Amino acid sequence: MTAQLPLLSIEDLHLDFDTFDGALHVLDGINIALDAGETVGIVGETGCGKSVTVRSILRLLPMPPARFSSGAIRFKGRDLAVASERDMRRIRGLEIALIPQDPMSYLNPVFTVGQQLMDVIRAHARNRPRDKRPAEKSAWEKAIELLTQVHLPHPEKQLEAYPHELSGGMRQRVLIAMALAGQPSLLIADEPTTALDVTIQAQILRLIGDLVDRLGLAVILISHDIGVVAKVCRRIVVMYAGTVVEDASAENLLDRPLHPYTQGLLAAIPKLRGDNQQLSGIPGSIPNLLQPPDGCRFYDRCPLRMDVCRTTKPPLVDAGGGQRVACHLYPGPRQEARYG
Amino acid sequence: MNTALPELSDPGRPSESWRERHASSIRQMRLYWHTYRRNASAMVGLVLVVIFLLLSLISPWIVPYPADATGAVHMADKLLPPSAAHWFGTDEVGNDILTRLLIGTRLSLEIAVIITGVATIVGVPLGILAGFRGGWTREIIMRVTDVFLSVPALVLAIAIVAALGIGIVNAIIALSLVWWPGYVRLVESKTLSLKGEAYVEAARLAGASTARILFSHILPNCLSPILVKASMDMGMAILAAASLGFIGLGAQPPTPEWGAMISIGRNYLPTWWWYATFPGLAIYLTVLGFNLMGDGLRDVFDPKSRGR
Amino acid sequence: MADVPLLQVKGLTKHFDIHSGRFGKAVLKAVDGIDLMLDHGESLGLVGESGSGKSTVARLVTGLHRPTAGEILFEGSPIQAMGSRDRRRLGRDIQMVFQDPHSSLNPRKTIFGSIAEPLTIHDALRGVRLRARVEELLETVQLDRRFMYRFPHELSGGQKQRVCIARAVALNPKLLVLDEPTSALDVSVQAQILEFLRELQDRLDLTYLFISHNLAVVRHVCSRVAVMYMGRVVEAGPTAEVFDQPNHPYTKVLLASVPEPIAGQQEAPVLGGDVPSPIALPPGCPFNPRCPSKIGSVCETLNPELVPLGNGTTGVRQVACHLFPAQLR
Repeated sequence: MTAQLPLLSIEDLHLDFDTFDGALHVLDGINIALDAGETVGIVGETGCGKSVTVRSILRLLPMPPARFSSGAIRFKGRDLAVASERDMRRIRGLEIALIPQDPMSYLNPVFTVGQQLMDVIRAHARNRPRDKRPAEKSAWEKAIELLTQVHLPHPEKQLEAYPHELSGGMRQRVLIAMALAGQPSLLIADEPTTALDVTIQAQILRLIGDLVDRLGLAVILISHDIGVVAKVCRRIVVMYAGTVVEDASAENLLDRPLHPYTQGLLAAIPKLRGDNQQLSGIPGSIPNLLQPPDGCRFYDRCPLRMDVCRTTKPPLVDAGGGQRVACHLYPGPRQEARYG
Repeated sequence: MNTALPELSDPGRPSESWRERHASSIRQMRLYWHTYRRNASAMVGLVLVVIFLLLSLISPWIVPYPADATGAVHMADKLLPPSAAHWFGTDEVGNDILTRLLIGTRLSLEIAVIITGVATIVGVPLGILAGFRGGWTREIIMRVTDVFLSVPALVLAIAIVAALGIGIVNAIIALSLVWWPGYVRLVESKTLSLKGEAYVEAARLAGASTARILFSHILPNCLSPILVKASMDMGMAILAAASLGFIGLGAQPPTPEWGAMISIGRNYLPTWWWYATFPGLAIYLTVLGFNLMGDGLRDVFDPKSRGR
Repeated sequence: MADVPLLQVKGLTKHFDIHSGRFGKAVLKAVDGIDLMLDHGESLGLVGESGSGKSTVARLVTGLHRPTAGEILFEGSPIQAMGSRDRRRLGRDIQMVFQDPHSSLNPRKTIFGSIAEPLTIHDALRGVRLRARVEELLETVQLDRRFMYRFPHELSGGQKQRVCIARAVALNPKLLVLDEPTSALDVSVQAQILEFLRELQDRLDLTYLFISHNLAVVRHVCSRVAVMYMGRVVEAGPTAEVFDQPNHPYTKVLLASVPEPIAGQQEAPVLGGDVPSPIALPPGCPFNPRCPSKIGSVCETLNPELVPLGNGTTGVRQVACHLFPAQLR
């Protein structure tokens, strides 16, 4: 760990959603840090809070009913959780950009790709602190440049096309181009390939990998598919019901998963090669977020649970080799109490 | 969830109470009610509608001057201003306006129910048929509907009444004929989207006949928009009937229909203001009530249409 | 073991007429002449990406679509030209589980109502007997019997899918077509459902036609696989063999593109180009514009036939590729 400040540091973030039935405790003390140029994948199943986490970085959640009950989101030292909306506008797209899941819903069907892309380019120029408005022509040139960067063939033609005339993979490339338009230092990709075919997915993942190498971007990639994350990211964070349960390098996590949930998740994935072993699912379901348990949120479904797990939340500790785990099975080097 | 089940000694016979078996439906209704209740304007609408319904039910028993409803004449009492004896004053033949207004409530309810009822009974099946069958069936139904919809409803109603003859019965017939196309449109588009749902395909695979699919799968899922439209239509139907009555084509004296009352009362403005004002107020509050209630229902069934 | 295969498909074709461009009409060749065979008790996986036609095949086999050409033989008898009465009777033998559990159940019907429907229609069951059968089915799919009073929105994705399975097996079908049954589910739930499906197949003596874009899932469930591309079958054979030693260039690329949760994967060759539109199919082999092993003009002009490739260790392998011409046996 260098002495340099991490690019992004989510510190003990708690997020609640106020609903008719009460407050949903969606995020329960998230700790994730990311250095410049690092690639981190966040995996988890429905309800784990991975999408909510990244959207709260960009403050894209409707702030009532969502609210931060404690914690901070430090980006280049600044706490985004309390930043003003005006400051956030300077951050979105310019410093941190988002590639969403379904390209079709994020592109306006009545405008051409070019109009939308140039719109984004111009908006960023307006929001940039140093005032530099590009002329109409250079917005077009910039658009061509971006489309070339994302390997879209015949960019001049594509600018004239409407979203429905493009294939899914091409639309996703357009969205990536839009994300790059502001020259961000952090790219957040929220299930960017879930809606795509396998061969197209491979292309897009390869593209993201190339962009990371070429532009030195930091990337947070969210997916329910651990394989996708393993292809692009050096580090993987596993989330469960609003908590981070494991945070390790891809190699360590995949070869030696420590947390019982990670183990269960990996055991549930059918293998493409090798014999038909028995798949084991994880019985049960996520706890009720209106009244989450006092102790570990995985307690009910954990095959290795102990009494302490019911009463005390396990802290995220270093279990060796930079692999962090939140589980009472791994007390960690810095621990007050000792368990027999 | 309690997973310890009592031994099924009697398979097929429900061991749970009626309440337990319908717990899900009950919960759903309560959720609807809670959502509705939080909407202030919807509650205002509900109150107005409930008052309207109550009055139409009990009016014959509470009116102070029952004979006035059928047009007794007391020229000595004509055009008296509102007083203790006559809360809303009297009209030009001495009838108590409050009495006539209350009896008119009953009439308005009949009008609303008949018109809306006929419109749904005719319009909904046609819409479902058009949406589900497609092809020529749909073309024919939709084109006929379009013809009706391209003429302003009231103008068409006036033409029909002119052809059939003046009177409240013919006015109701005319309005019913004019009202059903709206439902066809609404239901046809909903049916089109429902047709492609997986559960409809599953029903076909299970061997369901077209009739069963329409009744069991399509219709129940169309009910929400139909209910919303119908509740708003109740108010609009009363307004339309009143409009016809106002221009003299609907109810004829001595029938105490609100629109007809305004039609005559109009001539006595502004000196004898109570004659036109109170029936007008009645129409306004009733239509407002149904509209607010319809809005409230829509927000309950389709929360996406509102911001929250 | 019967001699006649349970399901056989010959030259099955489905074309859709669609509007294309401003005034034009075009033909969408969703399925373009395929042959398949399924023996009793087997599970055949049908894999492919969007536009491959695999979902259309599912709908053709179950009778939701009528084929434009070709034959579908169920237990030897052709079904494509059956009248509606016979078709309804076929519904007892062939059933389907759909992809999205959230839209496969009528939101206004209770679970009981949804499962009871085929029973009421075909078996005319009522009252106590109907209820008993529904309870039995819920037990078969390992759901508490009290679920029958609930509405679909109160169930999780995995539970809903179990209900759909219960509905599908209500009439004791012989063939169950599963169209991406676990794609909409979380991995841990998917694992449970897949294991359950495997076990159910033995218990109820079912035959599966399993459609999926997820190759690992197919490997897990299906003994045989057919790979589809643009409405054609490009390769078929025992799953383990096809996946471990693929012959067709598309199969190779498809397998290489699957991201696996394994550390330190080498960079696999990525297939360029886009999945073409099934409206404007190029002449010749549909894969030729993107094929890394293209031979030459024969690939652009002649559509290769699906031919057997000698005997694999467990079954016949077939490939449709000019690299494996028909003479080779």
